[in-house]
Amino acid sequence: MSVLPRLFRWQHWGVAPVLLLFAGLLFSLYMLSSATENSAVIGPYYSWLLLGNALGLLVLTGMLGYQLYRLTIEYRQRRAGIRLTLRMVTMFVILAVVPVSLVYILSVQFLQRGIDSWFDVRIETALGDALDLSRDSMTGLIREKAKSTLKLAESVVDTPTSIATLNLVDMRLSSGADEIALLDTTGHVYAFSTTDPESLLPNAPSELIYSQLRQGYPYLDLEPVKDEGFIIRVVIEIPDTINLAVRGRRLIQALYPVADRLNSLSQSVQSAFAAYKELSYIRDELKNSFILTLSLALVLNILAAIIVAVISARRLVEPVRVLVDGTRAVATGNYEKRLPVTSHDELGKLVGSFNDMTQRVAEASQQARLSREAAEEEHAYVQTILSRLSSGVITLNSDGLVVTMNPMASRILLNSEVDLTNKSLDEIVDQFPGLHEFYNCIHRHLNADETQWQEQLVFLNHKGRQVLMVNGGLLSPEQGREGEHVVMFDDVTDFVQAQRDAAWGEMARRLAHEIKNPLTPIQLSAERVRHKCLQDVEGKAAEVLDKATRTIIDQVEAMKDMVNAFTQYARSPELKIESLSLNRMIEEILEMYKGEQQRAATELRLDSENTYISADAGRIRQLLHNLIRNALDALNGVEDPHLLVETRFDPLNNTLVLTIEDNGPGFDESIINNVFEPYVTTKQQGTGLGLAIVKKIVEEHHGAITVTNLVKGGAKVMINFSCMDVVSHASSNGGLG
Amino acid sequence: MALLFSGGLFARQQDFADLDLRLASDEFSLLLQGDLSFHFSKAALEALANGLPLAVDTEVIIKPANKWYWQQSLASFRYKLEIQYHALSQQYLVKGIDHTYPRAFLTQSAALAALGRIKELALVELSSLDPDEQYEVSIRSVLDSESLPVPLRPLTYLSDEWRLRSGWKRLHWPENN
Repeated sequence: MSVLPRLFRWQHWGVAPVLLLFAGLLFSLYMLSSATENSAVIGPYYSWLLLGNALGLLVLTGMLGYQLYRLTIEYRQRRAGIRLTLRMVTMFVILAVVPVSLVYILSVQFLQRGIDSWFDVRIETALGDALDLSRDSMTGLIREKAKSTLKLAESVVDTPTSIATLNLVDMRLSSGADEIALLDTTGHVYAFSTTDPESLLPNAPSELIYSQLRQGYPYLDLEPVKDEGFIIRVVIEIPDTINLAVRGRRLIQALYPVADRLNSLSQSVQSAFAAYKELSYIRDELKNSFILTLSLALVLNILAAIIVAVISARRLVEPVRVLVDGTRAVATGNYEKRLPVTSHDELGKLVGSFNDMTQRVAEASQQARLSREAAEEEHAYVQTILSRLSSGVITLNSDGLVVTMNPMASRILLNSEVDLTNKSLDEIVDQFPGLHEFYNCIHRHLNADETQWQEQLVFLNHKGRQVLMVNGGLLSPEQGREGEHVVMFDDVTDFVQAQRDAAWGEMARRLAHEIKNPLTPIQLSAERVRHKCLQDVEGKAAEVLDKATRTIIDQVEAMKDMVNAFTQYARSPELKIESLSLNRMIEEILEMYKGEQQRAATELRLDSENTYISADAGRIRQLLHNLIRNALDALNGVEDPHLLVETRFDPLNNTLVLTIEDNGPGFDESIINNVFEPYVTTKQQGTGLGLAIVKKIVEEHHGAITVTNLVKGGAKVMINFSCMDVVSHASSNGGLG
Repeated sequence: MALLFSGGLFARQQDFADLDLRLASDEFSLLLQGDLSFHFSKAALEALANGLPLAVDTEVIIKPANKWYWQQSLASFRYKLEIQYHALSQQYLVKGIDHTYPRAFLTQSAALAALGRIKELALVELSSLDPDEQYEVSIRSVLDSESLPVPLRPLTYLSDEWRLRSGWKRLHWPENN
């Protein structure tokens, strides 16, 4: 903002303009009051003074209005310090207005009584009496002068006018008159004699006097001469017996001076009476005039007091307001705020202390910010490590709420990234029932108040059998997380399975190598013995030899089959992945078992859409053979056997679910958890590799397999295959031609 | 200022005076003559009876008849007429336009008649007038409230009874045929 506009902002000048205006108006009011008392000197300026006062008050009212407007705006804006300002203004105004109003009321009362006391009946009567006395005194003098004039008139009766005019000077001198004139009732002046050498014309009587004379009455009266006292005018008709006038009748007029003493006294009485009469007449207006002046003074005082109060209150509150602003700034985190120190009093010291405080707070805040940033960096670093970890990490607070959870944790547990933070373990297990075993494991160790624990957890979920290596521990108070528990777990399912598969593969390979090699010589030897010796022996020996060699040959053949099966399990041929319809494959396989199916009611529930998977047709065919063979074997000897083969598209996981269900005896509970491991079987003639091969095929196709016993009886095998999307299915079909 | 307060700005009463005036001329001057019949309000007459002097300002403006309002006038005058009751002599003193000293009258009506009487008041010299031009003489009378006692003045600003003025009387010279 430039300097010039600032100069015009009068509020920057403080109370000086108000005080100057106040002083001017006070002087004006004094003059106004003086004008009432001394009308002659200041009276001509009364109107200007009144106008000046009115304008001054108008300006003050404008100033006050502006101040009140600012206060209102600041109050609405809830500006800092406004309430304190208002309280101080109210206090100042009360302190100023109450005494002034009291003085005003008392002054008005004193004024009214004082002016009333000027007027008294006795004074009025005395003045009236004095006036009458003066008038009576004058009347005597008038009569005396009338007699003198009558004598003068008689002295010129029937004297021709031309002769009479010659005697006028003598008549004036002898009678003591100032002026003597000879005239007639029509106003015609014949001659006059006067003491005033400059006078060219006589002081002619008025029309009324002529009229009175024409009616035959003489005129004799006192006439005031403004500022010069009085004269006595006597006009008498000359009692001529003959008509000597031009027109009408002749008159003689004499103007007599009044003695100085009498003149002075009469004038004094007249002035006093006139002044009293005037004052008496304007009595109420006089009071009103003084009250008006007093009222203007009152309004002036009140307006000036309020304006000065507002400005003073602002100035007093300003340091407090600045402090409040500063405090608010600090409260909002602005520690760089520095307040201007405008005074060296206690408030100035307070502002200085505030600045010191904010500086220290700013430094502390800077330190805290740096520490926080370091902590955040550390946290981010830890989070990055956690997100890269192949292990799942979960921290739980003392209430069992998940505080942190890395992405791998949800991938291991739920096969997808789901944010479970701020959820309790109970809520999680309600939402994901498959995690029930995991929940039980953690819950058990938490309740045991173990500071460090480890457990290998095996449970079934959507992926089938899952093996987790779970480590847990209580975070120490030194780590700043008192009561929190950290749980780390690794999915070792594949690892354990790979170990087992490798072991079983190695065993199968060795078995095939070590057993298969001697089997052929044994079989050949047994056949040669049978061929060479059977015809040489007879009777009982031949029967024994026949039975023994046959048994050897059959068992060797059986062992060969078993070794072939192990060989098949152990080898991992390269998959020929192609798009194939699982439904069509199922129908083909079931067709091959048509004869056996006649013993069991077979139900097919095949999904009509999305039944294509990417798979090796030979391996899937083997998978279906094994499962259907197992199911049909399980239905042997079962009344009302029933086989259900179902395919169902699961849009949620985009998988095709194959379910094979029978109402046979189901899996033995003792082996159901290890049913996919090789050589686990309850069948007398089984190799124990059927389901192990099935699981291997499922895993080769990145699927999942679960087996369960049905409550109503029977077993259910459920396999999830990743479903082909429409695009890839179309391209695959095109490729197949 | 006097006119502003007493008659110019706030005055309302337009029938304060009947202006029965005429223009005439003698050998040298343009003359004004006639009578101003004043109609004082009741309050003004009461004030007069109580000894207060009443002053009447009569304003005369002379300008060419075809001049615009705001154009400068040829001449303008203001005459103050005054009347006052004299208690001791029980007469009214009048100081009119053509009287240099006060005259005493026995009755109020005679005094008021004398107050407004104008006898051959010289306005301007004929030599200063253009013979080919017609002139307009405007006359107006206003009660001069500034001559009243100070305590009465605030009342005169507000009361119709004190804001007395006449309308403008306009005369033309030479007169229209």
